[in-house]
Amino acid sequence: MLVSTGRDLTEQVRPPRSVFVNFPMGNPFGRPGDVAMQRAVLLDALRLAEADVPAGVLVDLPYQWGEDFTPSVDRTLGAMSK
Amino acid sequence: MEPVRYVERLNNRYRQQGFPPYAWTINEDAPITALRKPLSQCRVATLTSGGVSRCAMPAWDPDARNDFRLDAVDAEAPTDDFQVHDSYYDTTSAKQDINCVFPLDRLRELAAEGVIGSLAARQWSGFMGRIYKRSHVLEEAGPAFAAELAADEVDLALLVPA
Repeated sequence: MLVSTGRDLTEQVRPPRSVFVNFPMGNPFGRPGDVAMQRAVLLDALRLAEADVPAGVLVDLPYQWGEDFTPSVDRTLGAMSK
Repeated sequence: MEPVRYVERLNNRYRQQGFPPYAWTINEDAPITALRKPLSQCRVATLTSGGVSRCAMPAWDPDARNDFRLDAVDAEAPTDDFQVHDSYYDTTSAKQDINCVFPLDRLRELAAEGVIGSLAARQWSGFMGRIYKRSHVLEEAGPAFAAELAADEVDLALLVPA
């Protein structure tokens, strides 16, 4: 069971089961102290593990980050391509 | 916002820098194994690749390449006893609350509530940074990690890349 913040990266690798959250790379379970969100993402992942789904399934979770995190992505990509 | 196109954006950056196209791992299919018991009876282990270590352990090299160090992390570790070193993502949140990348508190709560059966005594941190040795992962490091999970009778592995 994999919790992904890089939808296209995960789609390529195709783990047995994945959930995708459209959050920045350092926040697969959400923000610091946001217990409700951390729990929600974790529960969604665990419940998918129990579900009868096809191999390679990738489920888009409905949660929104609420702000544009492009600047953080730009910094990450800069570090990755050094 | 739309999901970030990491692949396209990295391909563009590599091209601009004059590197040959990156050979991504692209799998056409996936293996799958059904859980052998209900979630409420499953033993769960988590692997983070986010450069996470206990404070008494060495820091990860934030710019690591081909580092196959793998830390076993006590499932009862207090969540304020971690350090995070990784240049390849924004670690600000993880440093404030390790649950952002390694949700030990949330897992312990779910175990206490009976949603999951238990946490394996050993949780994991490894496979961080940039790893280019694909065959080593597939033939050695991956199977060795799977053997550790099997030794702990883990039913469900939760993988959290960073």
